[in-house]
Amino acid sequence: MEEAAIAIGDLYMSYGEKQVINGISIQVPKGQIIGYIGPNGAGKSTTVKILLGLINNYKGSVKVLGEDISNGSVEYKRKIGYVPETAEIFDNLTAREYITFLGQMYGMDYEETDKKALKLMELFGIQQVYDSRITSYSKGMKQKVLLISSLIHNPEVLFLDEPLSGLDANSVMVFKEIMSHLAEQGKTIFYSSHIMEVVEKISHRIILINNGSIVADGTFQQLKEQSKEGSLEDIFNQLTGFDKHKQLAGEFVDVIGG
Amino acid sequence: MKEFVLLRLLDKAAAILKKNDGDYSQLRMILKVKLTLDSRNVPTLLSNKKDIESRNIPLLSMLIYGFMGLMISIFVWIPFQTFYKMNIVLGMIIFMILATMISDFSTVLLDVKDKNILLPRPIKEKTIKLAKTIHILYYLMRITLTLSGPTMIMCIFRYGSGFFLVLFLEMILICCLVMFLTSIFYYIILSLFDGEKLKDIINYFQIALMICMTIGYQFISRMFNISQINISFTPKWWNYLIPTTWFASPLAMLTEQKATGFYLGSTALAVVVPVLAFAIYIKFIMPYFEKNLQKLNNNEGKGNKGRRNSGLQRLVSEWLCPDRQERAVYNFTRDMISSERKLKLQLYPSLAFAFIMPLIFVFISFSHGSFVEAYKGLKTSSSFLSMYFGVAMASISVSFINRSEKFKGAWIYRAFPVEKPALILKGALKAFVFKYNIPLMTFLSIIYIFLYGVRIIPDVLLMLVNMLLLLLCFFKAANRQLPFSQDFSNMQQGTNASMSFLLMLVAGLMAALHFGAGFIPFGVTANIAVSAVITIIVWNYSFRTTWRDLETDS
Repeated sequence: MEEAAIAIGDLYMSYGEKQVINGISIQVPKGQIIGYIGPNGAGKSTTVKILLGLINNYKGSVKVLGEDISNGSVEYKRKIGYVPETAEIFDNLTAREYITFLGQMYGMDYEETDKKALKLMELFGIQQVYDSRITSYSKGMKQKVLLISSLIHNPEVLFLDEPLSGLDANSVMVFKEIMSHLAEQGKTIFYSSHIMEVVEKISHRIILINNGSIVADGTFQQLKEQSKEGSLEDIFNQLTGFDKHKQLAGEFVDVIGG
Repeated sequence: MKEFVLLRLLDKAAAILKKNDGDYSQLRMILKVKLTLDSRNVPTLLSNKKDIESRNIPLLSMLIYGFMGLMISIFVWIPFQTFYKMNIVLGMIIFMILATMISDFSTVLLDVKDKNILLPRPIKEKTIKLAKTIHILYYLMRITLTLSGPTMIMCIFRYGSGFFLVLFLEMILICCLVMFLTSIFYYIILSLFDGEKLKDIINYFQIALMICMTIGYQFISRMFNISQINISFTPKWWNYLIPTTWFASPLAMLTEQKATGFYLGSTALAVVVPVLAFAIYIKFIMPYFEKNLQKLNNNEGKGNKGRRNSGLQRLVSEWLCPDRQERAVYNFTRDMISSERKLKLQLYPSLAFAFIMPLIFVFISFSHGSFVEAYKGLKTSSSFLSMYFGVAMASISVSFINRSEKFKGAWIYRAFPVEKPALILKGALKAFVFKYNIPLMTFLSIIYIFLYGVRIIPDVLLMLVNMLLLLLCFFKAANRQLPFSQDFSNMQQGTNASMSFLLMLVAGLMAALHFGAGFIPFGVTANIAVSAVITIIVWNYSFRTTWRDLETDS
């Protein structure tokens, strides 16, 4: 078998008393788009942060592209791209300043990064703000800059946390296409989102976690057969043990009505 | 939310006017929210104080302005001609009110957010406008009262209550004038720039205000030395153009008991101009603001191409940082510091302080004896060692490097393929030192050499080397965080303060050593060599930080 892009074995993680991840094991081959879903606080972001090396004090083994990330080497980070959920960004800088900085940190040449970044900005239709501060951007523009800066160094593995938030419908279509092209090229995409329709469509495989453990893992078809539900949203509700949405909605409307 | 005095006053006024209808309660609520927001908004002069949140900010800022007002009021006692004296006093008061209005109150004057929130709700536009006007007036009056209050009280004792009454009326007129000038200022800026550029300009005003405040204190105490001069005043035509003369004239008439044509003329101006200005403000400028405020959020495609790396800068960075990643951090740090407004607001005044304080020391020595004699004395004196004060202050400023408003963006460092964080620290430190410390201190050195003669060139060199050593030690000891990774509010002020104290002590020791070396032949040269060697050793030793060392901070 070919070496897995991501290999997580028996991962445990706690913040003080609180156990956030309860023994997760995942093997992801290259070229797969993984839909990584779960309710708020299920441990999705924590998993991604561990994979990125933002959090270190976990238990278990985590390998990215065959390399154990706890061995102290940071080389593997060269092949990783990350779009965080909240746009945490040094946004006093201009897009040019920010992206070229990141590119150079990944070992790219200034000129090369600059040219590439401008071209990508152009393709997203925001080249006119390349030299403006990111603070002045709209939400969609900011998201586009985040996407570009996560891809600028041509990573092998991509971690995307709600990458489509704030994008208009056309840009969403473009980016979905980009993702499937990247997957065809053998890149691995770890896609985490709360928008079930999108996850359902783009993912080759869906992993659902709840309370820090995996509750479902398979293609959309497999999950459908397993749970006998029609849509990913229904499967999600069923597997996370949530069935009160009708009742809650009813009460909500009652309260508004007084 | 607590109850505000202003609101209670308004309630009384409303009761008198019998206006307790829906509109009034809306107005009241809007004002209440605005005042609450204000009380959480840290004004410029307090921006470097820690643990602000738990305290009463309006009260604290009032105290600071009140103290400033007290300093100004001291002038009332200088044995000067009333006309001159009041010119100075009023000039300072007007300047302070104006600067505060421009720097701190821009958020209210130029608020677009409240419109976005309020307009979609069923509130009359009239009510929103009235709330805004009351808010502005309230703020202006509070500032004016705290700044001029001490002076007015002093004047009662010095000149009696008639004088006080005139001064009080004048303050109201001054308020009108300030309102007009502030809005004119923004009127011009709004029509020339938009969005980010506008915020930059406000930022520069805030920096200027901070610098004036820090250095102003130093000067006021020195002013008394020159107070012996007694010049009699002969009016010139251009005196009519200076606003402070208008306001000083009626006061001069009161004390001198004579009414010249000039005094009467400028007194008339003191009344007419502010009233007219206020009318223009209400009629023309206010509506203009309403229409053009949207510009603030407007950033259509205008970039500043000037910020691209120039060829020379590129060469310097390549020479300083042969490593490509380190160079990236170097450029990144330069970009960050020049675009972080809050950082600049704290950094620039402290740098200006480092630059100006030593010079003030030099000029103190000038005030003793005659000018020529003092100047001659400099040629042989050792008082150039006062530059160590600047050296120490400039070294302390290095600690600003780890702060940022956008500290959350610092996650990127950990996503980088970087083995040793030392690389990031080195790049950032180099950028900071070469952008600020070295140019600033070189400039100061040139002034010193100009004053003390070329003989002190070796001494100046020694001081520059010592500065590098000092700031390296300080950086190592006090700075355990990655650049731009800490919030302004959670700085470890305690350790920093004690570290700064220690640094001053070391600087003092260095100065003593330097002084001693001056008596030995080639002593200074030897000292340079020793300091340089230690600096190089410290440089190579101090960057062994690992990611683990930084762990606890994230």
